[in-house]
Amino acid sequence: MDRIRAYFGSRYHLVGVKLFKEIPEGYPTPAKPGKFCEFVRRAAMGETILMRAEDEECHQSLIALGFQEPMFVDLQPRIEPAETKAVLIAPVEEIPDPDVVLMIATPRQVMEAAALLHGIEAKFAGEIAVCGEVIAEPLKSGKPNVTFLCGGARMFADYRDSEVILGAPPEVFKELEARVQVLEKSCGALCGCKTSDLPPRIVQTFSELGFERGIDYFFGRVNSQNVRIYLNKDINGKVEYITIHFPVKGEVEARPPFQKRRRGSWVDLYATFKDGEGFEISTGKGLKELIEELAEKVESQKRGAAK
Amino acid sequence: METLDLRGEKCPDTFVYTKIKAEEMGYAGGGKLKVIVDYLPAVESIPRSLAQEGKGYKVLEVKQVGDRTYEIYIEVPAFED
Repeated sequence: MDRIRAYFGSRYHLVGVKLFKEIPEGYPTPAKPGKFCEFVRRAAMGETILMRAEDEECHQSLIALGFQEPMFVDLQPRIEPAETKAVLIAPVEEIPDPDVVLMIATPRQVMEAAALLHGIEAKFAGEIAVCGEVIAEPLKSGKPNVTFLCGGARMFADYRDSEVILGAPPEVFKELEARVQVLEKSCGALCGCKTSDLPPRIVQTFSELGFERGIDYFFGRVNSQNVRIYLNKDINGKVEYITIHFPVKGEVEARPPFQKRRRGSWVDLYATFKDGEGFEISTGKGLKELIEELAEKVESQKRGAAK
Repeated sequence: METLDLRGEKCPDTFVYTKIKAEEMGYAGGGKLKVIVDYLPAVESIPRSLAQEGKGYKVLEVKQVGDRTYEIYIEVPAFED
């Protein structure tokens, strides 16, 4: 799930959490007792920790994580029945099959994640937070949740005031990753590379092909078609994808390789290609031919629509 | 019986104030303490934390007296020093 971390620009690893009914062997236990929320933050910094009941200082966390049943009040959310014997907390890439995945995030990052997931219904009370609201709650509901942490987590676990936690079953994060990947490839509104950030040789290439430079795209006319071109970098910062948009007035069908996106009375036909697949972004080799071929297809589709 | 009203307080302050009050009472000869809380996690954590202190505190009763309000009755022994 490195792609998610890179997309959101997170300083932390995503954290995987797995509950065990028997204590597994081979994992490091903490040198001294602490709190689950503190162990989560340490895992976000790269540590792997197997927490047993005797490693946990927080009583409500022991209840929320299903180590103990409550004695006096039905605390919720909690894992029930209480059969937990250990909890593995580690960077998500270290846990092959986590029960829940956590992302320590800023409100802005959660906003973007919520937009990509088409909404998150958060349920929080400022108590039993990291252990309950983003572990027990997503485990019981199967849905993502957001916690604004609790007093203990804020006081003892060194979370910043600007940090909250998004917790969800791994399937939700896989879906999020898939949507991030689509965005990276399709030049979604969140990801057009600024042309001022591009290497000069790439800017020169598009200039030589007759394109003008916009803030985050190149534009020009090819075979009487208006064209906008977006370039995108991969997670390592290399320009890897090119998305070519053809704005068309009115109704038009999107045949492969095009997809379409409506903007008022206009439709953008667009297609994304990976650098090296028949053209080179840096030298421009094959680009002109690709764009002309696409422009012809657009013209053909427009003629088809007119009939 | 002494009463410590902690309504409006949250963890970890609920236990910190309880511990301070119980120790005061312990050094003053012991007695019964009623702690009132409306933070549900404290209803569980105060008795467990007191037990961990190893000072002989005994939770006599935990009673719900309102929607989210609970009274915790604690017997505090006299500390020898």
